This record gives sequence, C-alpha cells and structure tokens, in this order.
Amino acid sequence: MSKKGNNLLIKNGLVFDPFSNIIGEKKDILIENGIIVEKFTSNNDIKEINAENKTIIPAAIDIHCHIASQQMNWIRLLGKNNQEFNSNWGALTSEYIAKEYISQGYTFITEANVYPSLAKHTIFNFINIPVLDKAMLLNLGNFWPLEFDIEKKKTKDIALFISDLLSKCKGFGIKIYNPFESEIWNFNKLREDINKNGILYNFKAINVYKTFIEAVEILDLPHSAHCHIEGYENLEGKENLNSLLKELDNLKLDARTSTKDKRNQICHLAHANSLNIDGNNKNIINNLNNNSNIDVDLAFIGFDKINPIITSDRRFFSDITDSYKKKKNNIINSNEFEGDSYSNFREFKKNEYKDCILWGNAIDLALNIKNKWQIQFSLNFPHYSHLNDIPKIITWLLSKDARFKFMENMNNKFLKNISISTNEDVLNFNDLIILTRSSPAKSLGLSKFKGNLSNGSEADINILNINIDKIDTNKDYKLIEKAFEYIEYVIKNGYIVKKEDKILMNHQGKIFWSEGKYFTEEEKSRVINKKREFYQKYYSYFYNMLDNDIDQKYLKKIE
Amino acid sequence: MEMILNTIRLINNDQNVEWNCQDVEFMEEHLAIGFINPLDFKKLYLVPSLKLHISNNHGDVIVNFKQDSKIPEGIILMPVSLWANQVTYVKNNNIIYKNIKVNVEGTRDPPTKLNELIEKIKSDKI
Amino acid sequence: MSEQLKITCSGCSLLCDDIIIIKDDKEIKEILGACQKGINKFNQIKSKNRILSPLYKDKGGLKVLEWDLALNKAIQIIKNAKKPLIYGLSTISCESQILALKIAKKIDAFIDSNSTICQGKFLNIASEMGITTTTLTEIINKSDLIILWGTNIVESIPRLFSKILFSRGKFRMTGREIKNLIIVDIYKTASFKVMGTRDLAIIIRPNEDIELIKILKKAVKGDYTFPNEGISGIDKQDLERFKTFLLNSEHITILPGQALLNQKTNGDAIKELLELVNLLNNIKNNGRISLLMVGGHYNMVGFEHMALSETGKNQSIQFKNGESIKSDDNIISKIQKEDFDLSIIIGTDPISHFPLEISKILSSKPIILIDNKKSGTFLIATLILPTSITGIENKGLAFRLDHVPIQLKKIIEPPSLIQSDYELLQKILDRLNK
Ligand code: SF4
Repeated sequence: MSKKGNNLLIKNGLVFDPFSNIIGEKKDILIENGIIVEKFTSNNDIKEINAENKTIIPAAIDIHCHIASQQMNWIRLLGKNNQEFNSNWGALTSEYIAKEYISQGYTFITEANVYPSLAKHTIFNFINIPVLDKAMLLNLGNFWPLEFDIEKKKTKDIALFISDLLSKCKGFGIKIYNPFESEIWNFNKLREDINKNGILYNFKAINVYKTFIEAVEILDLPHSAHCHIEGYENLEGKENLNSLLKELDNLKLDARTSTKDKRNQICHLAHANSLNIDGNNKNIINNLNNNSNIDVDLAFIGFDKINPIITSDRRFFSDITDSYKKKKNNIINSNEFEGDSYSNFREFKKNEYKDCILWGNAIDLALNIKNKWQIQFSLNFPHYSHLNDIPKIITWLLSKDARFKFMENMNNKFLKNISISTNEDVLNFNDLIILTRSSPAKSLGLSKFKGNLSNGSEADINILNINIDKIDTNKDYKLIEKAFEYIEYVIKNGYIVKKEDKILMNHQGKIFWSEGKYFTEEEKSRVINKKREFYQKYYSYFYNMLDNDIDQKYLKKIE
Repeated sequence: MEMILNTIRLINNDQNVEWNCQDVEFMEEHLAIGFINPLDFKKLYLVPSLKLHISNNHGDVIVNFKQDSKIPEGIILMPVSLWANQVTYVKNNNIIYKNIKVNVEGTRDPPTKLNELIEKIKSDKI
Repeated sequence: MSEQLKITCSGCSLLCDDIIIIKDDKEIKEILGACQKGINKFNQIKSKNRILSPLYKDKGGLKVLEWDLALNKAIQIIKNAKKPLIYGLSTISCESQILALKIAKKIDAFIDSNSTICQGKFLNIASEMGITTTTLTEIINKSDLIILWGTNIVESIPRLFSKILFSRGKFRMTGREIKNLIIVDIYKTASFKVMGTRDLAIIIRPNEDIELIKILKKAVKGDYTFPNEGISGIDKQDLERFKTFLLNSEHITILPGQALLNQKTNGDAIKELLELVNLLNNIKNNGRISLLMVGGHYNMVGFEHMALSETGKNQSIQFKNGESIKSDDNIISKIQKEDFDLSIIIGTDPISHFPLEISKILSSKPIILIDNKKSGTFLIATLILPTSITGIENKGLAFRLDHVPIQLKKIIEPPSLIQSDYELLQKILDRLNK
C-alpha cells in the first residue's frame, strides 16, 4: 500500500487550502515522490483515489505538545497502576501516541519543553515514534549559562549561543519559561513580580523574554520565541501576561514581512486560554487585533476524567497540588541548572468554575481574534485534552447547537457570568482548517513544506468522508464529528499511513531542526569558548556532550 | 555462634573484576571471604589458620576471613558473590542481601571451591 | 600513529566524560583519569576471560559454533520456548534495550532488568508516592548537605564524591568548605574516610534505619525531644545535629542505598524516607531536599526509560499476544514459581547474584547468554553469544545515574567476528520476524 515512488492522484475532491485561498473547490491533487505537483513527470504507476463527495484538507499540525521527554516517563511511571490512565490513554506509549496522532489526521508535532541536557532523550524518543515528523523547542528560561549575557544585554552573543545549542541538540526553536524563576530553590517562596530584579541574578525576569525574542530575530529562526507565561491558570499569570504585552509594545523590531516560508509573529504565546483565569480576554484580543507581531495557540479542554500534568511552572503546580490536598504523589525533578519539572494527574470537571473558564477562553479567543492566522489549535496534549476529543471540540467551534448542548450542565456561575456562554458566533470550515493546519505551519515557519496543498509542498493530506458543501455545519454537527472521528485517508509524504481503520506504522518521520542564520566559525568560537569554560566550571559534563550523535537520515534541517 | 551477615560491594573484592581478569584461585581468595570484628575473632576461638563455616536454613559455605575493627561486633560482611549466595534468600519476591541471620563457626576445612558451588547449582538436590 | 581522545567511561553509572585515552589504530595505549573500576572496564578488552566465539553446550561440553549456526540455534531454542524470560539489560545501550523489548514483544516473553532487585524498587514506590529528584549539576552548584544513607559510594561509584562533594559550584564557591556530609551506615565504610570535623557520622544498628527516619520525621515537625539514651545506637547529640542539619541546610541531597532497599520491612523504609523528604520540602522555609538514586550499572536507568516509553512500565513486563499485560511478578517470582522454560540473559551474571535456591531453578532450564566475558552464568549457560563492549568497541546512548542521557562512543574496533549487542539483537529479531 505504501511502496516508494508510488504516485497518487486524488480525484475530484472538495479541496480546502486556506494558504492558496482555495476554499472548497473541486480539484485534483497530484502527488509524486511525496510532493504535491502540478503535472506528473511520467504516467506510469499512478494510484488513484476517487474523492468524489469527499473533502480534502492538509494534514494537521500540533504546535505545542508534550509527548517526548523525560517528564513523559514520569507520567507513565505515576500512571503505571492507574486503571483509568491505562485504559483511556494506552499508558501513552510511543506507539499509542503515534497511532492517536495519525488517527486525528496529524503528521507533525512540536514537543514544546525540552531541557538541553535532556535533548538526547527527546531525540531518542522521536526516533521511536513512527510516521510523524517532529520538532522540539529547547526550554532556556532558566538556563544559567546565559545569565551573564542577559545581564550584560549581549543579545548577539546569546543568539550565537542559541544557534550552537540548537545545532548540537538538534532543536527547532526555543521556549521561554518562567525566566530564572528556579532561583527559588534557595528560599522556597514563590516570587511576587516578574518586573523586579531577581535575588540571585541581576536583571528583571521580564527582560529575558525581550532578550530572547531579539536573539531569535537575529537568527531569523523558522519559529518565533515560544513564550510560556508564569502562573498560568492563576490571576498572577494575567498580570504577568499584561507585563509581557506591555514589554512587547516597547520592543521596536521591524515588522516582519510574511512570505510563503516566513512567519509573521515575533512572539508566540503558549496555551493563551490559560492566561486570563478571570474569563476576561480583552487584553489578548485587543492586542492581537491591533498587532500582527504576536500569535497564540489555544489549548482546548476536552474534560477528560484524567489528564497528565506536564509542566515546569512552579506557581501553577503549587496551586493545583494545593487544590488536591491529599494527593502528594508528585514527581518533581530539578534538572542540570536548567529548570524544574512537575508531573502528576488532574481531572477537569464541567461543574468546576475554573475548568469552564479555561474551556470558554479557548472558544472566546478563537471567535474573537479576527485574523485566524494568529491562532493555532492545540491541546497542550496531553495536559488539557486527549487527541480523541478533537472531533467533539471541532463541533463546538463550527456549531452553536453543538456548543450550547455541551454547555447544558456546565458550572452555573460560568454560565451566568461569562459572555462566551451566550455568544452565538461560530467559525466556518475554512477557519477551522486555518486553525488546525495552515496557521500552525505558518507560525512554525514551515508553510513551504506543511499545512498547505500548493505545488511543491509535502504531500501531507487528510481525506474526509464528507462533502462539506452539502451540509449545514451548524445543524449537521454530528456528521462533521463523525467525519473527523474516522478520517478516511491520512497521507504523509505521499504514503498512505491511514486508510479507514488501518494504520500503517512502518514509515519513519523526520526530525526538523534549525540553527538559523549562519555565523562564521570565528564569531562562533569567540562566544562558544566562553561557554565551554562555563560548562567546565559548573557542569557535570563537558559542553561537547550535548552533541547529538544521530543518523542524518532522521534529520531535516530548515534553513 | 549466631551472627548477622551483610553482603556489600568492595572495589578490591568485586566479583565483576574477578570474573573479568583473574584466575579461579585468585577469585576464590578474594570472594570467598568474610570480614569480622577482632572481638568476634576471639569469641569464635579462631586462629589465623582456620576458616569460617557460615550456615543457615538456606545453605552453607566455607570462606577465609579477615579482621577489621571497624566492623561492629556480631556482624559479618561478605562481598556479593557466589559464596555469599549460599546463605542469601528470597522473601516477598525480593532477594535479601542484608541482615541475614547465620551461624558462624571456625573450621579446618578449606574454603569452598568455585566448581563445588557450580556443581551445587547444577545438581538436582535442592 | 597515536592520538589522544577525551572519552566517556562506562565503568559505572556515573559515566565520567573526562577520561583521556591515548590510542593507535588498533588499541588503547594509555588511560588517564579513570578510577580503578573504570580501568577494570578497559581491561575487559583484552581480558583472558573474554568470550571470542559463540559456544554451545551439549553432552560433550562446550563447542565452538560458527555465527550462522549459533544464530540458528538461538532461534530454534527461542522458538521452542513457550515462556521465555529476558533478563539483565543494564549494561547495554538504549538502542539495544529497545531491540530487546521488541524481541520480548515478538516472543511473548517476560522481560526484566537488574533494577528489579536494586534501585528500581525506589521507582516502584515513587510511582505510588511521588518523588523529588535532582541531578549532578544541581548538586554541584547548590547542595550544601549531602547524605549517604546506607551506600558506600567510594567503592561503588568511585568518582561521585569528586563530582558532588569536592567541587565548587556557582552558589557554592567555597566548595568542600560549605558542603557538609552525613553518612548513615552500620559501620565505618571507606566513604567515611572523607569526613571532616563538621560532618556527621551516624553508625546505626543494623536494620533500624526505619526507626531513625521515623524519629527524624517527628523531630523536624518540632515539639519532640530525642530520648536521652539516643536511639538505634545513635547518641542524642548526633540526633540533634542531624535535625539541625536537615532544618538549616539550603539544598540537601540524599543518596539512598541498598541498605534501605533491603530492610526486612519490605519497602517501608523507602516510604518513610520519601515522606521525610516531602515533609521537609513543605515545612522548610528555605531551600529544598531531594533524592539521587545511585544504581551501579552504567545503563540501568536507561532500561527504565526505554521500558516506560515502549510499554508504560519501568520493569517486570509480561508480554502476551504482543501486548504488555498486567503482572505482579518480577524476575525472582517468575523463577521461584518455575514459570519459564528458557532464559535469555543479556549482559549480566545472575548466577553470581541470585541466592542458591534461585540459581538452581534458573539453571534447570536452557539459558542463552549474551555477554562479553565469562561469569558464573557462563559456566552453566546452554548457548553463549559474545558481543563487543559498548562505550569502547561500539557506540550507544546510556543514562547516567541521575537520568541524564549520555552518548557513548566507539573508540576501537572489536575483536574479529564480534558484533555489538545491537547488531546481534537486530539479527535475532530479523530472524524471528522471518
Ligand atoms: S567513577 Fe565510574 S564512570 Fe567514573 S571513571 Fe570510575 S568507573 Fe568510570
């Protein structure tokens, strides 16, 4: 079914390709050697799929998840004897994760929280997760080797170092997480304000965001700085968000020019629906509607019985463990001078006010941010939702009937107070494809390869057994749900990896990485030699140990 | 005399090293050994030419010994090895390597040989 | 021509990456910076006890086999087995561990690592109770108190002290001066020799660690005075000092050893210790306290991680119809119940570690041994397949004791016709798949 060099012709499907402005046109898709082409070079051996009355969309892309890290193993360890976890989450084994992603039409994922010291673990996991293409973001928020440069505002040096780290670890981008908050090990008290100078370091935490954003722009990495706001699901998080938004206003960077392979934003906010826990999202909505420099992913809540918490946010974690007073079985790990990680389980409930807010925020933001290219669909998987919630979540976005029906037994205070509970707006199908496919590709700087069906792109495609034109997306939401539950075909690089119930796991995906702009060896060694010294002085291993000895066949470098 | 036996890891009496590079005789010398306090040495009426016969419900073995005043009275230490395995046992699916009750006496018999231990493992008698 | 290289030692779970070797095309001439244990690892290369060809035992004794025949023999033995065991796996690379898991899945084996009878017990309890752990760079830069509890690391992980105790850190610029040490053990092991005047030596009566932990739990909560006569052979003053250290240090790391694992109370001492750590992290208003597990084999931790990501379990995995199923067994209970008809032993020597009663049962069924040197198990194995030494003759990923992944490199060529664990396991898997 998936021999190499198989040419595919998908005939007569209804095509949605927001990137090329194709909104529901009947069109053939031609695939040769894994790439979408205008014309076949030879007419031999062409396999045909009749897509009459079916809908063709690009494969989905996850811009923010946690599936390949040491922390994932702490979750598995905690869940080892947990019946709920084993039956509903398949113990989240590598194979299970791959299968679930493929079933939901995904071909690309972004592991969003990797400490450089543990990057080898993630890469190793990546290799053992079949089919999917993957990328990882290095979490540098608490990275002590950068302390001095941040203090001295040596942004170019930071950029050089980041570039070298990315090329050693085979990372794709960087994540900024609770900047230098791990200094807390010394006094066991949560910090009050990220606008103040630290105690063990001599700069403001908020400045770290700015410095990293500038460094990423110097490197012109495919993806922008990926920012996590300290204290999510907490009012403190809202204040921190407002501080960052203000900081971004002051940041004078030239507006980026968007091209096919370039993103627009300079700052990506992770799971933005978790930031305004009072349910008022005006700050984000206004900011994004006036400013193309920022984009956000929305981590939809699926209200699962049990969700693994994978986080490095101490404030969030102490809140949530306080609320589960009796549960003390956390796995907490502080890692190599690079930050901490916290693992446990939680449960989302429809009668919990706060959980409903998180749910409502995602929908609120999806509806009210005007430019849908500034929003990406995510689940913060596996923290906020299971992948198999996606079909249901899609109906909440496309159909007010579905949404209102789902809201029936939600928390009363939420239903009374929060505007989204009466909002009748919906997204159209094209918007949905932008959110789940085209926009993540764009934000990651991968539109040249992914998230669209234009010629030259990688043939990562879903075929839905539904003719979107012929249904009322509001009323017939059950049909849509079904179409996404049983995606008929998932095609990855021209290989059919899912056909109806059958999933083929023998295809190996690539690990996407980037080091950004090229620097001369001379420039590099000036900075890197100093870092080597730092490692020699303070680390348990030499800097060169970060090198990843991985077969080129697994890698794909993005320039 | 009743004593408590603990198995330990010692860099100079490491079975891994012995298996790696040494002759059987050398291995026997370094692994068939127990360490005891000089006071126990007296209590056991030992003389340097004697060996220790260590036994409990699970088995028995004869080993050389050395005195070491750091070791508390009533305790005998042995490197983890085929020799110590003669008196270790299993409880609740765990191997008990520490705090094993054993009976220790002086003996004129030579220390148990490696091939005797292997034969013991292979033999059908339990 | 000789060259100088900086390499990583796989002599123990510390995986020191600062070993210098001088080598020519064929062999290593000199090794600088490794400890005695590390040197021993390198000595394996030319050890006279090295296995250099496949061997098969029949009535006439051990016979040398050609590789192809040996592999066929292995497949035949495996295919004849209905309840195979796979055991060991702590001294092979992660890549090989994944293959071993795949083979286990293919042949519906029960697979388990040395960790089951060692540090893995900690993780099992952590899976119920949680755990706060840390890594070496954290300890180097932050710890001002290191507690060895029933472990004699000077002899098991020889260079660990020089990394974590005799080192200066970013927040511990004065190094050893500010890093205090407590050792709890039943006698003064070699590790006690590093102690200075401010350090605290606790000699405890055998098997009473749990009492000490319980008392400390009470004491750190306040409102408790230690009995005048002390407890478990420990003076009252020393107990007071222990408590003061726990309450006033900023960053404490406890290294728990076999002694705690092996309490007759069956894991209770570990539970108490985890509770003490939790308690201190909650009541202390400065600093933090964490545990660092100190398993000895260089890739014992690796197997836990590989097994978790492939099966959701860290050890003792029973496959049935290609799926891992629930099982309360471990390697010991499987053998004790005689619930097996073949054992495949990879890179370990159970015969030298298991009690006689268990070894007897193990040896009553066929054994396939995959290893690079002779051992107790070698003497009773049915089929012996030799391999090269990972970290010297072939490369691979391993996990340091603190769960940090470290890449091992190939430095020299293996002896002729000797392949790596990875290559060998891949061949076995391929032939099983045929
Ligand atoms: S401490 Fe361990 S890793 Fe380091 S040199 Fe010694 S044996 Fe090798």
